[in-house]
Amino acid sequence: MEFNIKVVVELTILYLALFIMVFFMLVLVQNRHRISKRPRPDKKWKPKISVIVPAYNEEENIEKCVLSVINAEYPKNKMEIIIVDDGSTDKTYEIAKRLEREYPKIIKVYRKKNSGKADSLNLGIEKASGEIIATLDADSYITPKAIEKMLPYFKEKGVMAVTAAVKASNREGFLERLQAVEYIYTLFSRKVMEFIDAIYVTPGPFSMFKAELFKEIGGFDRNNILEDQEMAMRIQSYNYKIRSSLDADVYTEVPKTFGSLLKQRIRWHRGGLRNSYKYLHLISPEYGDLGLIVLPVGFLSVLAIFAVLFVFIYTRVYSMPIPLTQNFLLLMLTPAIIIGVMLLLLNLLWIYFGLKVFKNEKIDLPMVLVYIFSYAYLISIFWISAIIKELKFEKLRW
Amino acid sequence: MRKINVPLYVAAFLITTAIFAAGIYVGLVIEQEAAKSIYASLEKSTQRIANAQLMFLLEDSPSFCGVYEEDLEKVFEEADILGKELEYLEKQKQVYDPDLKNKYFALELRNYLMAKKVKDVCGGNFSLALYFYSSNCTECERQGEELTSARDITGWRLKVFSFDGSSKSSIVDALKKEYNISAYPTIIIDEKHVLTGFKKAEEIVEKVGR
Repeated sequence: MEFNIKVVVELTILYLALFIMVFFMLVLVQNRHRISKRPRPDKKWKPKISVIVPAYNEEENIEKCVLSVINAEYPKNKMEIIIVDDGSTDKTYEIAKRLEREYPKIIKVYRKKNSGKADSLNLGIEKASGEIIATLDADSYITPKAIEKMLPYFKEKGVMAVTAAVKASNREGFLERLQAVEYIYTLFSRKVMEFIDAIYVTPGPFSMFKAELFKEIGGFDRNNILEDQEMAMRIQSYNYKIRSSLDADVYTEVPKTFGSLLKQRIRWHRGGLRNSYKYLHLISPEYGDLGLIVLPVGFLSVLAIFAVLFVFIYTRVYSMPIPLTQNFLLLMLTPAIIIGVMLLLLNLLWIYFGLKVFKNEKIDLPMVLVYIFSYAYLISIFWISAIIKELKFEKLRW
Repeated sequence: MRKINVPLYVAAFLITTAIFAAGIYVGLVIEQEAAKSIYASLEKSTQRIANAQLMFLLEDSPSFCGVYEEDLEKVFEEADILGKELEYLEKQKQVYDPDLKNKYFALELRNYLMAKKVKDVCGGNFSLALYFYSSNCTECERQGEELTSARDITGWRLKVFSFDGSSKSSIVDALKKEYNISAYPTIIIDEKHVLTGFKKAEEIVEKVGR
């Protein structure tokens, strides 16, 4: 084996990737009994819940979204829905007002000039009277038992936020089906993150918070384009806990075209970069596994994309057709390839565990395979686009 | 200050290192096996052509031509694959084994001499090209591709024998003296046409006998 820069870079990436994979595998094994464990519901504890629905041009979705809360299995007198119309130019406000007339005791509608989602959420928080505050995207809807399933997590000391099992509502096209699989694995990973207190996002589609949290740490950051992640990082920085429910199903509309998906992901990644930078001080043993592993891995994986790109360019693509002889097969099995295969096997094992956890979910096996073998490339495209835009200081909007 | 699960980190480190070391070890063993396996293929091919040469010494009447031609085809095929394997070893894995290369050029030369003899005795309808290249010649890679396409155009009636002029092989040195090679790439077709410098496939095909 010749040691050149390519081999060194290749083996370094592989070692780190392997370490991270093994680390999370051990976390999973150690906490395997917690995966399917749910906190005991408290029949007597029925706190008032304020559901805030920020909406901007959501005339097609808002009714379904609001009605899903109305139909939730929770006492109506313990529930309020605050719709904040962010200066929509379509019929969102009219529809919201009609719903308010239909359910005057539950729904309140506010309208303001367009100033962004964080601002809308903050207005909602200001008007909310509940002990628990939930945020619900207008293009999403909850299932009837979602609230009931999430509430008991707040009984644990220090828990300030609970995330839902966000899944894709539309699954017709190829990209939508791929995202459906992706969302399932995100849920699985988030649950594993919970075990080491390292959840770094409280998803916008539906998350619940204790109202007192906002009094202590403030509302959503109005200058942030990834306000749901910023909130979670802030909660972490205060050493509060975030729990994640795997069965409080919430459905959200996912992008249908590659263009809209790319746009969404560029926002996520650019917002993610800025938030990582803002919370750079969390990278420290003081923040436990979040500071030692999870946040550094975020940075490392971005670096890894560029390292892989470097290796790829360095290895001039071999243009000659290769005869499939025994010698050639042996020649191509380099140490890096063998370690890579081991890593792939561990990955498959991880995916298998994920599938087992969601055994009630209808499994789209072809898409699972597409996900396994193409997702890394897709993510790389998103990251590279995001970084190029970030380096060009292109203006960033929600 | 949060708790850090030190044993978890230690376990992850140990397991990772073990898997990694096992991967490297298996990879290195396979790499050695690959080199051994190429040596073995080279030996086999050399043995085959040496046997054919022996038989030829014993009996060089045209009635045996069928047998020799069959042997030659087989050996050419094997040498072609061996050449690709060596190129892959050198370019992709940066493994340079002078002994292996010397043996390969010896095989190429044996094949060439045998093909020349068979052509004299049996009068086969093919041309023989000696191709001299060098690792520090920029046009040689493209020249190699042109030769391959020339071979394909003529329906394999052009047999190419390649020699790396920059290698320290005594066999190549002898050939360079024999044919006065001073520049790369140089192609000698049927010991009549000397083509120096980059030549397109069509120019090479023109020199191939019909």
